[in-house]
Amino acid sequence: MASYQALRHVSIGQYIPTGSAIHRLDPRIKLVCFALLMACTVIISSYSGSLALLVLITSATLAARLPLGYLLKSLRPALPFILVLSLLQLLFYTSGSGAPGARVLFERGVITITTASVQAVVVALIRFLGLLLLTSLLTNTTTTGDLTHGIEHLLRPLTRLGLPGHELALVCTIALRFVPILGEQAEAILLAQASRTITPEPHGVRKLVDGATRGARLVVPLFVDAYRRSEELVLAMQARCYHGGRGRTQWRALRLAPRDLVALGLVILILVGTILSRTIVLP
Amino acid sequence: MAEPLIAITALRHTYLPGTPMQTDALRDVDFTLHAGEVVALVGPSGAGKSTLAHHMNGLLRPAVTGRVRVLGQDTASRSCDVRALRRQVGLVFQHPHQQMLEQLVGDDIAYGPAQLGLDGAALRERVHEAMEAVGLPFERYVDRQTFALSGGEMRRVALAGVLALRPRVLVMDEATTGLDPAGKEQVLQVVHRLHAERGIGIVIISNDMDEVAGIADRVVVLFQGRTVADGPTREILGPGLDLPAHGLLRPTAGQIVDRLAGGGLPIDRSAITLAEAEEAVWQAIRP
Repeated sequence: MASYQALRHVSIGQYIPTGSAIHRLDPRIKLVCFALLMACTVIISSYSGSLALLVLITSATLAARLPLGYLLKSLRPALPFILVLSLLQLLFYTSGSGAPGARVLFERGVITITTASVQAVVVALIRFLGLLLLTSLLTNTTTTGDLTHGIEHLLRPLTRLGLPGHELALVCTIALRFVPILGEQAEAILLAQASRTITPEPHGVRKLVDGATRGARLVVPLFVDAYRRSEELVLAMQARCYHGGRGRTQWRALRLAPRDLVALGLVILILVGTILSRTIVLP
Repeated sequence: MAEPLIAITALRHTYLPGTPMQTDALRDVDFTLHAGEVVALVGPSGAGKSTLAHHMNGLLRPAVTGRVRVLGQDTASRSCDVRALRRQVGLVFQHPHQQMLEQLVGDDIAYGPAQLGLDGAALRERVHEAMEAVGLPFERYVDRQTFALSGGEMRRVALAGVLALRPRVLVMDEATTGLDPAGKEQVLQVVHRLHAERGIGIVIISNDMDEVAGIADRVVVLFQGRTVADGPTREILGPGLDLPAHGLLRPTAGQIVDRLAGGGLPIDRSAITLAEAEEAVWQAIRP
């Protein structure tokens, strides 16, 4: 049944080849753009600015020919948390309530709702959406190999300071790559467990208890399996003579193309715009 | 004839519909299992065997096309009691460690019957019986850690966990793959005995044609999500059907007689087991 496949719906970390221009960007440029756009999303705090940024990110997603609806679907499991957090923020947000132009909309006891807190919540939601799309935009258009190379190249200056750049890049890549694998694994375990559960569906309080213990019953075998898999991965890498960063050549040499510079230029423009919009306060 | 235990017609199954990873695992599958029958489900990797197995106890249910009736219940209908179904149709998974729910062997095997309300001596007796059936000495294994078992032991614990519910149908998804010859033999003997003593319907999913030749009454061939052949074991594994076209080979015995015949020996090519091949060779070379 569809419910067992829910975990595979995590779209972060799943490479979706569509062959768009964004797919073909140099991974280093993509990573830098990703970091800069992320900074923009976090910096911006006005309605118009955050909306404009979301529109930009959405159009980039469409330009990459990624299925937008599918990406948004991966939000669904996080939705309850987001809503609860937003509600808390709306009810108890105080900092900035003294900001110029902030009006009190509602006040009773400890609860104060101002135009500033409403803005904070709405902007946070837009920001969250933007970050999700950005992450998808990076990971769905870049193969893990490219990602590692990109991260490694960018970290290279720091290796002189003793930072294990190659290893860090590898850790990131493996972590991202394991998301869908663990999802599939969890699905298999849920199937097997469902197949051996024969009592009628619990109701009411027992349903809650059942839901909670089900989590534990899933996590333990999932962990055992993840450990086993990581050991196998280590063996497989050693068997193929993996020895870390030093002296390692690359299958794909990274070379900047004009389109990379265009992309970087665009993102820098957006960053400048963002910073300007902070200083010249927009409504 | 009584209604079959499992009757599947024109089944189609699509994984992750509406996403970029959408795949049709089953396109057009027909499958039946009658009472007291041992049916082998064969086909190359990716043919849809496991997906079909998941339809047999209501883990998956037909979405758009196809009809699945298991023990008289239509699994697509909302009123279908899948939990009752799962009690009667035991599914042994391809990877037994995914099927372990408890830390200790005894607890894991007791998982099913405990849900039926059995406890105390009755529960212990049920676990004992299931462990004996798969050849695991009760005293030696009951308190072992499930995750520390060897592959063969784990598979037998998984099988015992399913048998403890006394199912009417047993579906084994590559339950002997990766076992050593002795382990394989042991599992197959369990299947033989279950079939002979309790008469339960058995579906064996396997790629080992020698194994299939020795145990199945009927063979169903799945290829790219379609049923491409269904018939008595002798007919399907015999020389008449082009198994390589469906990504499969004849049993070793069949391949031997095929080669001898190809080399010019006037030999009967219908052998599917080693004993039959031996007999055919004697027949052919005796002056």
